[in-house]
Amino acid sequence: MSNYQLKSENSITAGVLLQKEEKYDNSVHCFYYACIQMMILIKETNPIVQRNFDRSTALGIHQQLITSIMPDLNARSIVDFLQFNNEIQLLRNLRVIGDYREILITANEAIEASLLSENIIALLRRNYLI
Amino acid sequence: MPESTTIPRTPHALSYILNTLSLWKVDNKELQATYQYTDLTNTHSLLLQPASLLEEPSFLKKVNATILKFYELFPNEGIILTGTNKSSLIKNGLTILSKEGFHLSVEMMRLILSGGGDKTADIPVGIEVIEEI
Repeated sequence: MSNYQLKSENSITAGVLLQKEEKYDNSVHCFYYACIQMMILIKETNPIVQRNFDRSTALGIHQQLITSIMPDLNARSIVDFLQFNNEIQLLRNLRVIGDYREILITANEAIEASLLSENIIALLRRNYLI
Repeated sequence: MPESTTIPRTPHALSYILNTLSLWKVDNKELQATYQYTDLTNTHSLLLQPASLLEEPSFLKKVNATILKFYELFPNEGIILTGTNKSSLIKNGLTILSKEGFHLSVEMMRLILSGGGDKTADIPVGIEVIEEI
């Protein structure tokens, strides 16, 4: 198993533990980073995604990762593309709120983040055979 | 709740989205898109209706192509969130205007017409300019 995949699985585990401790903002952070770590693994192992990443003019590694995977994912599945676009953005929005805003993440939003990360990771695994 | 506004940071990006979507018509069925911008997370939200059109691969491909093109042209101008029902988008902190079709606030239209938008692309026919509620 790749260490990126291990980090991703550990992030999920940490997110669940924090959720149980009612540290919802921090749990969302972990669920989001589990997806980012899985995307890094894809970038490192897929030449097309790597090339897109290298050519990207997006500011910020997260935006670079997301927009580098999307063209390749669209070529693999137009249905999964739209799901990925929506769900990673929703999770990202929750993470921005959890990490940077004055607003607190609720228990329901933490559950939503958990489900979103589960969906996103399953989708990426299915398409990239991880 | 995130602060919601219909004033986009980039009228250029907005005019691109609307011009692209306005061209979509298959078998006399036209995809209607309601647009909303949320500056808290820089999200461009599109309510796409009727939802059944998105079950047609040709439409789905066009939606995807528009999203991809947007990220290619405007990699640092936020994200596009799509939905086919208002409740799912509202749940994510967005206030969707209730009328069908394209909606622009007066201020947003002024921004586009004042030169901030894409001058090579005309404003889509049928856009209704309404006062923001």
